[in-house]
Amino acid sequence: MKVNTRTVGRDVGRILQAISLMLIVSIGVAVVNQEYYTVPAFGISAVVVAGIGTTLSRLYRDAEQPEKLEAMITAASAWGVTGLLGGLPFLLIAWTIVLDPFPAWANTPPMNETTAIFLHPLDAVFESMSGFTGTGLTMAAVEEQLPRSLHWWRSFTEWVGGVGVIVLTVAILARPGSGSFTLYESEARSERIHPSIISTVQEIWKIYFGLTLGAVVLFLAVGMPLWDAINHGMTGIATGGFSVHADSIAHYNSPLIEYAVVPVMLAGSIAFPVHYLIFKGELHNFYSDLQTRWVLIWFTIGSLVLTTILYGNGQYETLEETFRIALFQFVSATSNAGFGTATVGTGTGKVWSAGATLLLCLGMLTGAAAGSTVSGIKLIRVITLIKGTSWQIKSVFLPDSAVRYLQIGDRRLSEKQVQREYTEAAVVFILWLAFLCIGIAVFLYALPPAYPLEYIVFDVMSAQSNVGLDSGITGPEMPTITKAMLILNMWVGRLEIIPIAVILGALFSRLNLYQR
Amino acid sequence: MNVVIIGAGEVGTSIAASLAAGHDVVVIDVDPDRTEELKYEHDVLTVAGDGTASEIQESANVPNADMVIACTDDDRTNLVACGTSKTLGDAFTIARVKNTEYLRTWERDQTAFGVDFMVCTNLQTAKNIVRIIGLPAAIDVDPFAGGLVQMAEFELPEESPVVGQTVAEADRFESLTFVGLFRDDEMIFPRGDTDILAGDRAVVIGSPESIQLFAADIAPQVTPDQTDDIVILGGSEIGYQTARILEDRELGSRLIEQDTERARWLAENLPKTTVLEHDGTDTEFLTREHVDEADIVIAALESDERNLLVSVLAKRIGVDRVVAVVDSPDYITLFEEIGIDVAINPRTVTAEEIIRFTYESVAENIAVLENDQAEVLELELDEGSRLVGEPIKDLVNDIDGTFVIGAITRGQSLISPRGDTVLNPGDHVIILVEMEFASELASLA
Repeated sequence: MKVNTRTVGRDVGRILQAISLMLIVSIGVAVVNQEYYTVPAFGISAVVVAGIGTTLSRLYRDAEQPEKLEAMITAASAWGVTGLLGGLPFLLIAWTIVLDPFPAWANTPPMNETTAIFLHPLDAVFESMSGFTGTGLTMAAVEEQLPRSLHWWRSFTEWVGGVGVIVLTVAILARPGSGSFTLYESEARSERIHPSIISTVQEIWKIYFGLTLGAVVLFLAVGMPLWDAINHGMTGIATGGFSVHADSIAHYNSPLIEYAVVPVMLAGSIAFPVHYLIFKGELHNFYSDLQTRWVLIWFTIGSLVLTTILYGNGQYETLEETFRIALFQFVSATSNAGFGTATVGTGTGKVWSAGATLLLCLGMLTGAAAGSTVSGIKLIRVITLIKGTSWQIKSVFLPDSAVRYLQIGDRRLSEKQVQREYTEAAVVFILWLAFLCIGIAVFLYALPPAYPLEYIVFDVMSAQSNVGLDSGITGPEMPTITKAMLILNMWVGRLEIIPIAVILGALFSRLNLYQR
Repeated sequence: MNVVIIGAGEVGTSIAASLAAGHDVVVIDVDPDRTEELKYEHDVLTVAGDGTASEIQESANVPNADMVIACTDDDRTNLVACGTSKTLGDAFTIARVKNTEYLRTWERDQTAFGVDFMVCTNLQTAKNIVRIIGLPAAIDVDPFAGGLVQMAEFELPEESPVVGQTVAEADRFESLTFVGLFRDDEMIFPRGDTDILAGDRAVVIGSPESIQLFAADIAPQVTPDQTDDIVILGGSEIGYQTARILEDRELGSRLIEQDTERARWLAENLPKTTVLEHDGTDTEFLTREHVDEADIVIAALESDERNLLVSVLAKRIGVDRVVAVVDSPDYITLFEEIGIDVAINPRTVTAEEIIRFTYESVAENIAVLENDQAEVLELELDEGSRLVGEPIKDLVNDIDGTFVIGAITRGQSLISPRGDTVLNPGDHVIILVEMEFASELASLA
């Protein structure tokens, strides 16, 4: 195993070049909002990111095309570096406000507690990683106090992160042919809409942009203000979950808005190729596509069970309110969006029972359809694991010579294919649980025992599945080590673990840690 | 454009590589390992399975494809694949075949096998060999209308016999049109009384045979003629086709074939060629037959190793130019490094021909001449075309813009354009046109 670092360097460089364009776009948004003092911060960040990106891609421009190994390492390191550098605007804007170096027309506001958090680099990186991975856990206590430019940057990172930085790069810096598919695949995607990856990627962006626009219009129609509608539209379809309000969607106190957010999160949970077919008028894909069918079934069952539990606990006043909250919370958790309409817990203080909390955890773990903007281990893997397990058990009852196949959706897998796909799903699942356990262990070590275990599980799961709901533990006051742990969990979760395992393996072998 | 390529061997892969950048390409191959590999090498979708099966073709979206290219190593697979795809949709089908028999059948009825365009590997290779050895004086040679017509550009040296003549005097071949002259970077549309000066570059369009004769006329020193000695070693299909095309160009050759039956068959089918029955790798025989004094030797035996051997032998006994057929593309540089003048790979030739054809059917711009001053276009005329139904001499007067019609093909036959020729719908016309006027002219077709 020899990693071609030149290829990795070049491809990471190209991805950073694409990211720097995001920062340049943000300058425009800052100007429109008349927050001129944030322009230098975005400008400097753009120059830094573009500088690193251009240097890397120039330096290694004659590198070879990536193999699978390089692509995995590129994906893992690109997401890592993007998460780090995406923290620059938070850090620089916070420091701009403290130092206040500009004349009055730059509109520098006075410092407030929420923005002051981002004076610490770790918190800035946390917010950026949470954004790019589409998580939505936040270090901002009261979002209303943040400058609009930062609202935008948080929403924008989630929006781009929802589809993926590699997909962004392939679409913007389209280069024909080799290597594109390898990279595309390493970012947890494999389905194509068109035979060519580049046209697939461009189609994905068109669909995504259309869906976002639809979400914004829907939100405006149900009475959300324009700025809120834009931000929530972007973070909702990306199933990210950053909000411009501290109370998230609960802020509006409007059942209509709450119901309107559910279909947006649902749209974010359906794979892009299915969206493409549905847009083309093939509506039967809602039930004929295996994953889409199960997204709908799972959302329905989960919401109903959660309603029963919450109603049984007598948590909310009316049945309608209970149902609305259960539907919203379950869809929010399972689509990995992480918008909130209810408080799950306040850290040490219990609000929801362990049963309700763990049901949400299950939803977060499974996630929704592969090929959409959600994280989690994805429904297709859950189906493979369940069907595969029962297939293995049934094989005990059959003679060795039996010729068998396993039907998953419209695919019929031979014995060999079943073994391969089942193993793949099992490996992801086991590594997933392993990282989850590490996270939980770190939390148990760093937090006082007053925090209930199910809430700790909930928050770590929320980070690793890129959900963004929290039970009151995650916030600016939490210990540094737990912040770092959650950053790691978010990074691991977005890339479906394997690229991270590969990059760790490559690092270990380079450092000669595998001494026998 | 949606393109489906059946067969991911050397030919299919190189076509896929060239089309992937601008088109949506799906590649079908029987070998799942090969498709898996290809998926990562190029930006294409791959399907593993039998390319002749409807089910596999449907999953590769053949029903909605614009073009299907069947280029496996097996002729019958390719023909059946094209036939299958015609039952699923109306994609334009291209088949690669080795056997010239299939090509002949197809030429008789161009809907045969459901194939819209057929590339015969052996014939195409033979044509390439003849083009390379036959027209050394040409700066540029481009085939049009599936090889029926050629465009060639020649530089005329001081000693050329046509220098000092008028165009009318030089242009005396039945199926050849003198379409343009370049003089000091200036383009001249020739009239009958235009004088030809030394250093001019002449552009002619016509049948490959007439261009060969024209080349012999303007550059007699370098162009091979009947007195030149051409020896073909090996009576393979490529060797036979090469000899046949050389005969068409009035160039005789000697063909050496070891197998008695085959040699006899060749002798019967190649009346102007001397067929010798002997082992082509026998040095003593080669010297005895004065092959060492030959001007050109073409190695067209059945295996690369034997071709390598005879090429080296021929070079060593003192042959001037040696052209070798090399089946494995990996060997090409090897052949050229050890001093073989030209190594021709049938697969590369086939892939190039198919790629060229796919470009043609997309954009009609084919050959650009002399720093973008002029363009040679091949246009297919439809019912409503402005160019249809009027004698050419009236067209030239009525249409504002300079162009010269170089050749017309109707069905599989070549028509030489004259002033009173009337164009029909369905004709392919090959036209030299000023760059500025090119797109306007194309829109009139």
